[in-house]
Amino acid sequence: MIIEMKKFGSVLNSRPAGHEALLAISPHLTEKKDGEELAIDFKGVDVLTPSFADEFITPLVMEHNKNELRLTNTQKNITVRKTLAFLAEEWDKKVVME
Amino acid sequence: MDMLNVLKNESVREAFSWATSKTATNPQKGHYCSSRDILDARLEHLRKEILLSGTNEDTSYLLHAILSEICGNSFDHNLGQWHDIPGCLLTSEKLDNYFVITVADRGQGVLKTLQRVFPEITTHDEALKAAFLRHISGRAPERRGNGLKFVRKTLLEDGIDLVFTSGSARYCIFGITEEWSKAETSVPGCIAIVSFPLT
Repeated sequence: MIIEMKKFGSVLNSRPAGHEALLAISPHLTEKKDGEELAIDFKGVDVLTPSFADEFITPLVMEHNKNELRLTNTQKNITVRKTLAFLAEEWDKKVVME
Repeated sequence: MDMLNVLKNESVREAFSWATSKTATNPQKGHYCSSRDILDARLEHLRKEILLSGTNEDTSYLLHAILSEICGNSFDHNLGQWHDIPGCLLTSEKLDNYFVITVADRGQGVLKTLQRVFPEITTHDEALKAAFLRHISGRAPERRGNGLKFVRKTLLEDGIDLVFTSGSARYCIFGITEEWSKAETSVPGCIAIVSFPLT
């Protein structure tokens, strides 16, 4: 299953927006089969802040095993790269970022 | 640009005057963000202004992220707690060699916000250091408290200057140098000045 972050907007920058985005996507996550990989794709995102990511990405990281989750297109945009690197220091597992 | 010169700029003085006046005055419409929607539109407009000034795209995106975190705090931590006027002021000024952006609010300030959850914090200086250096939040038990740590880390890495004042405490980043000091004028809420050289 792939979540395309650009579908939530190109600027992802507040806690309320991150919280709403997670609520919106949660029903679709129940369609994911056991053991199926979840890829979160950041292609097309111009701005990502720790506030948004902490509400949206961190819960998904906590809920999935490290071999079930992959963050893709994380290196092109500087705010995506820095925000994920900053939050990853607090995550209790190593997550694949490419 | 040193701190004294930053504080002399017209847009910075306007923000200080608005944020510190005892009686509430109506802010300039073009600079005032009464809601998050207005703030988001203004931040996007400001990013385009920064790009037009000759700043590279990466820096413009980083500034958008940093200002989102600073302005977001004005809304997140003051909801239902404003002294009088809700929201924040967001001003910008392009000088010969510098771009200066100021964020100001008439909220509770860092000390009051953190004291609700951490009563052991008793001074503005302690509160400001905790906000920038420790992973704590005035909205515990929510998982919060990352924003200003991210701001500090990013500014130090990318050579963007900051003067942040709340209460009687001031935190500055100039280049890679950090300084904690006492502010000449006490600020009830928060004022942040972000400045960077134009290339």
